[in-house]
Parts: sequence; C-alpha cells; structure tokens
Amino acid sequence: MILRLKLAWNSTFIVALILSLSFAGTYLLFKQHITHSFYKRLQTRALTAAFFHLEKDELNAQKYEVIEKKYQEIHRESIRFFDGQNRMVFEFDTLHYTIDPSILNRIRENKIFHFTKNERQFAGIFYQDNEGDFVVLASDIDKDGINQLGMLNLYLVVFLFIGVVLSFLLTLLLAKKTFKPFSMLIQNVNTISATNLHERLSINSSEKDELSELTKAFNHFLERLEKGVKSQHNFLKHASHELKTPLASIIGHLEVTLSRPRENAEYREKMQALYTDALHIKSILEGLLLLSGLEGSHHMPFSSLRVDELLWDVLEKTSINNPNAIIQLNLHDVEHKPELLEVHANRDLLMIAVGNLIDNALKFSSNQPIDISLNDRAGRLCIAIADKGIGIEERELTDIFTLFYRSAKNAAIPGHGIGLHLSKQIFDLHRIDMEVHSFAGKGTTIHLLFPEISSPPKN
Amino acid sequence: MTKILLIEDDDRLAAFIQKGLEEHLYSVTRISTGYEALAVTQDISFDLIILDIMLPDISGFQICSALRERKITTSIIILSALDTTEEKIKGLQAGADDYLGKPFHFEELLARINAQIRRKSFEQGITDSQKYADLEINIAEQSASRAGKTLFLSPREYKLLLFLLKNRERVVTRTQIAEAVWDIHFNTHTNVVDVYINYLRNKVDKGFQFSLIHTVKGRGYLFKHKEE
Repeated sequence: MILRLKLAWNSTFIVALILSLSFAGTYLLFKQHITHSFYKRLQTRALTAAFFHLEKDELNAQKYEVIEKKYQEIHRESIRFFDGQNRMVFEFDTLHYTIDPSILNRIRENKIFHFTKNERQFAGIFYQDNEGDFVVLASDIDKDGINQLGMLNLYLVVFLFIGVVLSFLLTLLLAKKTFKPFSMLIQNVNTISATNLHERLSINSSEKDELSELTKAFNHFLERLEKGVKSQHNFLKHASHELKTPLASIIGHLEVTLSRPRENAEYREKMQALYTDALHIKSILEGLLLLSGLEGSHHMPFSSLRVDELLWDVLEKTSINNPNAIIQLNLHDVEHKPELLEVHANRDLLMIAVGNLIDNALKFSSNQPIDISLNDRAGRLCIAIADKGIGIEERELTDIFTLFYRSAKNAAIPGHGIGLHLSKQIFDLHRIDMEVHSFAGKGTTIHLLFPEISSPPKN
Repeated sequence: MTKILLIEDDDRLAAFIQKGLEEHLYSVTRISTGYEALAVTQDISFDLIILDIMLPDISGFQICSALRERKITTSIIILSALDTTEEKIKGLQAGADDYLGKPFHFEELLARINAQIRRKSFEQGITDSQKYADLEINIAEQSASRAGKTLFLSPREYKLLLFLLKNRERVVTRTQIAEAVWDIHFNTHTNVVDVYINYLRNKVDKGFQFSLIHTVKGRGYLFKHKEE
C-alpha cells in the first residue's frame, strides 16, 4: 500500500517540521533568558564591587557592612576597575584577558554595557565618584547556564526523535484503518467480472462519507455497464437469429431443390424464394449497419433541404420497388407557406426513415392507397402518413419501436423489426416528434412534427 | 439502341449487370480498368456510363473529373460499395449525375438509368444556355436567372420551369405537366401541380416587371411573354 506509506511519511515530515521549529524557538528563547539573567547578576556584582571599593567613605558603617557582606559572596566572578586613562587599577582574579580600550569607551558612553568574549560574559558599568570615574567590569563563565542549556538541548532532541517516530507509527496505523474499507472495496470490485455483473457492492448505510459516495458511483457504473452488456447481448442474439432464419431457408431450399432434377417452373419458383431471402438478409444487414453508425457517431452532416423534394425522391424509389402502390400526396396546407418545407436534416438518413414509414404503411394495408399530407401545425411542419390497414393494438403501441419487435399477428407479413426502431432513432437525431395514432382494423396515422424553424429561410 | 459503357473490375458483378441490361435491350460495352475507359471514350460516344469507384488503376472520381474536363456531357452513374454521404458528395462534385451504393436492386439501377436517359431527352430541345424574354436557363449548371437575378429553385421547380420553357407559348394541361415532371403516377385529385406552379410563380414572376406563367381557365397553364 504505497498510498498509506506515503501518507505516513508526509504527515511525519510535517510533524517533524513543526516540532523542530517550536523546539528551536524554545531553546533560543531559553538561552536568551539565561544569558540575560547572568548579565544582570554580573551587573549587580560590578555595582557591589564599586560600592565596596569606592563608597567606604560615604556610607555609614551599618550600610557598608551590608555591602561588605555582599562583596564577600563574590567568589568566582572576576572584577576589574579601569581609570580614566584605561589603566587597570584593580584586579580581583588571576585570569589572563585583555580588554580593548574601545569597549571601555563604549561602557563610558552607554553607562552600562554587556558583551561576550569566547564563553565569558562581561557586564561593565561606568561609575562616577569623588575618587574618580571608573569603569567596573564583572565577568564570568555561566557554567550552570551552559549545563542547563545542554540538558535542555538533549531533552528537546530526544523528544523530537520520540515525537517523529510516534507520529510515523500512529499515522501509519491511522492510514491503515482509514484505507481498510478501500482495500475491501478493491477486493469486492475485483470479484466482479462479465459473468456476475448483476452483483453490487455493499454500502455501509450508517456512514455518509466519500467512501459510500464512491461505492454508490461504482454501483451506478455497474448498472450502466450491465445494461449495455445486456442490450449488446440481446442485440447479438436477435441479430444472429434474424440472420439465421433466412440463411436456413436458403440452405433448405437449395438442399431440397438440388436433391433431384426438377422442372424449369419449379427452379424458377425456388430461385424466387432464394431471391426473397437474400433481399431479407441484405435489408437486415443494412439496417444494422445504419444503426451501429447512428450509435457510433453523433456527427452526421446536416444540410438545408426541401422536404417535399425528399418526399418525391422517396416516392420515386417506392414506385420502383412497389409499382402498384397508390400514394396520394396533399400539399394544400403548405401551398402558401413554402418556407415550412425548408428543413435542416441529413438527407440520406431522413429518406430512409420516411421511406420505412411509407413502406410499412403500404405493407400493412395490403397496398391500399395511402395518404400523405404536409400540414402547418402552429408554425411547425407536420407530415401525416395515413393508411387504412390492419392498425396496431393499443397495448403494442409502446413496443413497436423496440429493436427486433414483431407483432405476433403479423408473422405472415415479411419484416424483421428493425425499420421502425431505426426510423425513431433518426427522427430523434433530427428532433422530429413522432406521434402514432392507430385503431386496430381501421388503420394507422403517423404524424411527424418537425422542429420549429429557427431562422427565416433564404430567398 | 441506347449505348451504355460499363466500367467495373469485378467480373461477376459486371457480367450480371451486362446480362440484365442486354435483356432490357441496351447495348453494353464492358471494360475493367480506368485507362481503358479514358481511351475508349475518346473514340466512341455513349449515352450513359456506369462507373465503379475502386478500380485497379485510377479511381472512378478521377475518371469522372477527366471526362467532364474533356467536355463529355454523357450521364454518369457511379456504382460503389463506398456508400457514405461524403463519398456521394465527392462523386457528384466530380461530375457524376447519380450515385448508387452496392448492393443494389437491379430494378433500381434500371430505373435510375431510365431516369437519366429521360432527363437527357427532357433537356433536348433546349440549348445549353436558353434565353426567353429576360429569363435564362443554364442546363450544365442546372440554374436559372431572371433579369440577371439568380432564382433559387428546388429540383422539381427547376424541372417544371424547364418543361414550361420547352412548351413556351403553348397551353399545357395539368396532366401533361404531372406526367412529364413527376415520373410517378399520383392521384389526379391532388393539387400537386397547382401547388408547384404557385411556388414557381413566387420565385419566377413575383417582383418582376411582367409575368411569364399564366393560368388558362379550365385548360391549364401558358408560359409566355406578353406585356400587360
């Protein structure tokens, strides 16, 4: 679990950074405090020494006794007196150090001055007296302070180390706990494959966090995946079934016909049957190819075209395949509104879609005349295709657009249940609303309601 | 006899098209490469060319363009398995008159051949650039203009105008128009001819100095320039 470790490392780094900063701050402040207190002590010592040596004449015996007592307490500190000519006039130590005259001048200037030389701290005061003006310098090495600082340093380093290690371990533990449901989720997801797509991940309903959102999203994704796989599976099943039927018929016809010599008329009849089956396969393949093209791409080229011209082309094609068809076209409603006929469409697709509807109308009304009228419905073009055929049962109205759906009562009428589905897809692509009005036994009327014209037509 | 040039490299398909067409009394010359096609069209004039796109040497689109460059106006029907809208547009832009995707119904090919031949004969009697009064028609571009202004006509409107122009200064009945302009037979009760005459009038006559299309009550229509 790289992520877990990464989280632990990152959090430890942050903890280490924060601890180091605060410890360093503590150390520096403490050091400053200790140094400052020591300077104060040295300053007091210098003052005591000055009093002791220079004020004996001015103080009463009682006060001087107090001073003397204090002066007796000075053991370790070195005390030196310098006169106006920077000459050392008194020395209370055996140490070898020299003081730069510039420092003495500075003490005279500032009255009080602190400085450090190597480890030794100095506190100097400028003392003016009737015996003369002296610079009194007290100095010492703060061994206690240094020891205390050393201890503090040690403690801080130890605690820093402990803190960092503890932080790393705890974060790792926390990360492990936090990521445990995720690794369980991963395990669950891994068990789902194409064979058990119906299974869903369990959601801990008590908690509403990112994890349950993720699980929900996964389940949603699985749902869509299952639906897609199912529809593809159904599609393949139906498509292969639809293709197998005419193929079986072709093979059967050929086997029977070839089994022994036959009359010319019989060959002719069989050839006719083979021709019908081959056409059937061709139209299924064309339908399926178109459908896959429609599903695969939503970038069909659209252009401006006149819908009446498109209808004439469809009718010409229909009259080639179905020379006996009688189709009455009524343009009366749009006689004075040619602008309604201008539509934005993919010519080839719309021809197929409208052609399917006209073929169906002819097919299901055993070639009785069909009426096509172009109407103006509140500023929208409406094409009505009406037949006087067998009609559609009301309960079947919702099924007729389903791919490969064939009504049981129409089993004798050739077809493969692709046409209407394809037409519907094409109309949807064009935002054309399709309404089906049908009465069983009386006929069907289909209304195609084109979208409103968005821009005024040219010319 | 109508002479058809069939350029198709698939022998089986070519044989069946040739057989079918010959049974319908067309004379068919069958070749299988583009270079042959370019050579043979230099010596012989055909009434119609059926052209495959994927030939072994040069593409059908190139042949089409080359023929049009040589000012050969013979109708060309492209026959191809490349059946997308883009390919169709490419074919029509190269100068083809029609485009039929494979596989096709032989009846449909026959109908399209007939339609092309009918269109050619329909255009006969009109010169390439025909003028009448201030109206001008350009057959090659299939366009029309009046008083220098281009008329945006739909294919049927154009065909109707062409028919009226061909029969100018002569009364034509609705039935004559319907049969000539629309190849399909539709019920005479419908008002299709009147509707399209109305559309055409809106474009050809409306806003111009004088009308060219006149209604002859009880008889039909008359296309004539008469000052009013």
